[in-house]
Formats: sequence, C-alpha cells, structure tokens
Amino acid sequence: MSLETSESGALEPTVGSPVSPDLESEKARREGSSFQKAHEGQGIVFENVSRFYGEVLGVNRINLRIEPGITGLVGPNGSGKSTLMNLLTGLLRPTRGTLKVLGLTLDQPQELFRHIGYCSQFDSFPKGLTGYEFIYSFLRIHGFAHGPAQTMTWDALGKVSLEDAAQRKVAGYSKGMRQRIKLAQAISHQPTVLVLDEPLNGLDPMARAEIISLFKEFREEGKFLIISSHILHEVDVISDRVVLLNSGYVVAEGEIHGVRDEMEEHPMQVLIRCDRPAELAAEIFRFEYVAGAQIHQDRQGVLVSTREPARFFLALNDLVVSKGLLMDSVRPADDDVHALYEYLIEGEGRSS
Amino acid sequence: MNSTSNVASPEVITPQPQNSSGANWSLWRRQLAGVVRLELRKNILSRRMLPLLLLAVLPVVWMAIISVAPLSEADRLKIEPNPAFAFVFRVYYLKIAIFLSCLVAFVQLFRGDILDRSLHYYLLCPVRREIFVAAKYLVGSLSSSLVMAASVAATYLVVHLSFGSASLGSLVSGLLTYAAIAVLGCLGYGAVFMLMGLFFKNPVLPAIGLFLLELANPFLHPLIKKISIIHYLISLLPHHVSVGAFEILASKTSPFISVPSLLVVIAATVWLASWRLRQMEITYSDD
Repeated sequence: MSLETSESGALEPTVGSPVSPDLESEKARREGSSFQKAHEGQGIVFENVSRFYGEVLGVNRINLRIEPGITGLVGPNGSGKSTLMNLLTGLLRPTRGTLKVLGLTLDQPQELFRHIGYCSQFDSFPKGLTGYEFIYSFLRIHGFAHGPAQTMTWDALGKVSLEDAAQRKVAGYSKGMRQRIKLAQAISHQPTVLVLDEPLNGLDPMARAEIISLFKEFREEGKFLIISSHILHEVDVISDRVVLLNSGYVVAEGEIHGVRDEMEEHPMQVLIRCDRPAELAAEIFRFEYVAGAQIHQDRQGVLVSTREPARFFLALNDLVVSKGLLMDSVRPADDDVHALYEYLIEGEGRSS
Repeated sequence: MNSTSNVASPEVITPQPQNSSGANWSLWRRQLAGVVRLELRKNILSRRMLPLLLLAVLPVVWMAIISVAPLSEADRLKIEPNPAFAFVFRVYYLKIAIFLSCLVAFVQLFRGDILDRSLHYYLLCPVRREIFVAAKYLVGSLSSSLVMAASVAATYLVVHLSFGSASLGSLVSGLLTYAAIAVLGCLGYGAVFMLMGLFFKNPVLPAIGLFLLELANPFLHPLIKKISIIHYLISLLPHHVSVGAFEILASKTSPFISVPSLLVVIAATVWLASWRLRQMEITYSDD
C-alpha cells in the first residue's frame, strides 16, 4: 500500500479548510483500527519497573495496569511523574522491569510510536518553524504523504483552535499557544495513547475548558490519556482514576472513590447542609460511629467525620425524618484528589 | 487499575504496514525525505551557515584581490597557477576551511537539537534511528560539500584565469579533481564531527584535539600519518606542495586505497552514530 499523493515538495500549506482524507488515508485508518482491535485489552502494563539516575531513584518497583480512559498522575515535584511518562514514551529505559504499551515493547519504536503521542514538559521547539510547519514536518517524518499530512495538520490545529496562528512562527507564540501547539503535535497522528505532562499549564480558563472537553472527547473514543497535573481540582474533574506518586513509589492507584474508601485510617468527612445545623450536630454526636462533628464556618451546615459511612447515612435518614429537618445537601467533603493528596502525600511528609 | 470500560475501538492512522520481509523501502524513503526536508528548512537559511559561507568566500575574494593587484609582468609570469592553487588548497582548504565548515555543519546536527531540547520530537517518531542519522548526515554533507566545492571551483578558476593559460581540458579536469577531494573531505570530517556531537557534551574539545593532530600530520611518523583523514586527502592531490622544511615525507597512498579507505571509515562512523542514537535517552538536564 502506498499513501503517495501529489508531491509539492515544499512546506507550503494550502490555506483554507482541511482537505478531505483520500481513499488511501481511509484505508490506512482501517488498518490502524484493525491494529487496535488486535491489541484491545492489552492496555499499558508496568511490571516491576524501576529507574535510577546513577545513585538517584527516579521510580521504583512500579506495577501498574492502565486501561483506556483518563488517568491522572498526581504527586509533588520530584515524585517521579515525568520519569514515569518518559519511560512510557521510550525516552528513558527502565533500569529494571518490563513495560508494554498495547502489547508493544520499547524495542519496537517503529511500531510503538505510531500509537503514542507525547506532550512533554519541555517548552522547546525546532527552530524557525511556523505552527503549521511544526506539525506538518513531523507528520511527513512519520511517513504520511503530503495530502494526508496536510489534512491531519489542519485537523490537529483546529482541535486546539490555532488555525489563525498557523502561519506564524512558534517562537512568537504566547505560553498558552505554545502549550496548545505541543498538544496539537502530540495528537496530530491520531495516537491511541496520549501522554500529557502538565498539559493545562499556561492556558487561560477558556482554553482550559476547551482542552478538557477535548480530553473527554478522546476518552469517549476509547483512547488512553495519561495526564500529570499540579492542579488537583482539574485532575479531580477529568480523571477516571488516579495514580498517586511520592518519592518514586506509587502510594495509591485506582478510581478516586475506591482509593478513598480503602483509607480506613482517615474517617470520611461528610458536609451536611440543613436549616438547623446546631441541633443536627448535637444529635449526631450520640452515634458511636461518628468520630467528630463541627459546625461549618458559614454556620449553614455540619461537617461530620465517620468511620462507617453506610451506617451513618442510614441513621441520618431516620434522624431527618424524626426531627423534621430541612436538608439542602449531603455530600462527601474529602472524596477527591485533593484529599487523597493531603492524606497520602502531605500526611506522610508530616509523619516522617 | 482494573476498571472495565465498554468503549468503541479507537482508530489509528498508520502510515504504512511493513511487508512480509520486514523491509519497507517506500516508507523509509518518505521518512528520509521528511527528515531531510525539515533539516534543510532549519539549517540552510539559519545563522549557523554564516561561518561556513565566510570560510568559502574568503579565498575567492583574496585570490581575486591578488589577481587584480598591480604586479609587474615578470612577477606575474613567476606565479604558476597549479602549484599556487595546490598550496592554497592544502594549507587553507584542507587544514582550515573544510575542517571548520564541517565542524559548524555537522556537530550541531544532533548536539544542536539536544541543546534546543527538541531531539525528543524526532525520537518519538516511528522511524528507524538509522534513517535519522542518514538523513542528517545527508543534509550536513549536502550543505558543506556544495559550499566548499563551489568555493574551491571559484578559487581555482580565479587563479587559473588570472595567472595561467592551461587548456580547457586540463582546467576542467583539475577543477573536478579538487572539487571531488573537497567533497570527500567534507564527507570524512563530517562523519567524525557528527559522531562527536552524539558522544560528547562539549564536542569542541575533541575537535580541537583532532584539529591539532591533523595540523601536525606533515611532521608525524609516516605510519602515524595514516591514522588521519588529511593524509588520504593529500594523497589524492594532483600536485605535491611542501608545507615546511620539517615535513616528513611519506609515500602517497594510491587513490584506489585512499578513496575506499575513507568511504569505509565514513560508513563505520555513520553506523556507530546510529548505534549511539538507538541507545540514547532524553535527559536534557544532563546536557
């Protein structure tokens, strides 16, 4: 099969709307899809992976299986997030252990890198290129012919809303635009696995919302997204599951609620908003499985700590009915990434 | 992470599947062309080319000035174009211009990308590392060879048209010989400098070492002379010129040995560069 179409030879884009993919490109799509089917269910697997920089530990004994969807990598600076991402994308090799992406090892770069897109932390680009040339050039290096490469370039630029700036030099872009063009380059060849190191850095709120929406779109398509971020609120909003790293070790991983449920040493916090919080607090104190209760700062609710949430919620129902309380809301107050981070990473830092 | 998901199979565009033999020349050719195109775009009109162009223009201008200098007819007749150009070629081109222009053109091929922190974009492409090395070497060779061969040709013509009256046939033959030696020099030094750019964080120091070794070549023992590039290039010169009273003369190596020897060294060096690139990890902070 050949994807050769008309060769202009120059890096001259056709200004205007993207060209429709030609038949050869469609054929290639089908072949790519058959690859995906063949490797379905294999996921991304770390088996006892360690990486040392001389004497310095990068990550140690990582055992992970990452499934399709959005996986958030969370941890403080130096926890091993970037090392893990660089291992996953083959920029680093494990000192020990094995790593497979969709069943492919790092020794098969020609096959592996068709399926991986990496938006790295490095805010750097090949010199002298426009946004269009940056994406188009690397698609040509992938082996795409002029026509499909041109189509895919405009498609990627459109996804990050950078069509208008396509003919400007990347060196003249703002920080947010540079972040978006990196993302466009990472997604341009339509990879199955997207590894994104702090992809929301430098983006304004509008752009953040657009990019998060794009991530959700990729999730719907069944892609693997591995995202690291310092902004815990955003990780919480977009991630299906999290991997918490600290000092090179995975301290917890899984769906956020599942991880929280397993942390029995930390009572669950529940914020109850109602018309008579003081009365509710007094009644709640009588339950043996309530570790504590305090009136919220705004005096409109009660913050309850309980080790047995299921029993507590049943008892709360009875109490509300018997006392005739008017309830506004009942919701977990520490069932998010921020709380996990605080308990597992900052808490560990304090205790050590 | 054991959550299950029932999602549609994602679609991936693959440039081209490999054939049953594992070799995919059509894809490799396109990938090679892709890297060459990008490298030309980055390098040809960049500031990196300025030193190379200066080195190329300098002898042409210098010879042009001498040719129009007010010399007496007797003095003018004393200047023999062939030895004069051979001297310029050996002393300026082989020892300085080709060496330095290759240093400029080749060392930065990979080291420049490491310093710019942009090498990872290449390494994340589904491309054999040998193709990157071949493509970058091709671009370095093209730029340095074209500029140096053009400079050699221009200087040669200025010298011969100003001071000589050779036949057209010998003029063309001499011009082609010198241009070919210049190209071979670019290929040889280029391969070595590209390798230095991959192995050394600061390739300037080993380059200075090589420069001194090549500079001292005329005064080295005949056996040691042969562990160099310049010896084989000098062996190809159509006219011998001495570079000093202390030069230790060694027998010329036949072109049938010189040229293949240089090509073998170039091939080995490019292979070593490919091996190095396959082993390479991206830890820019170390660089």
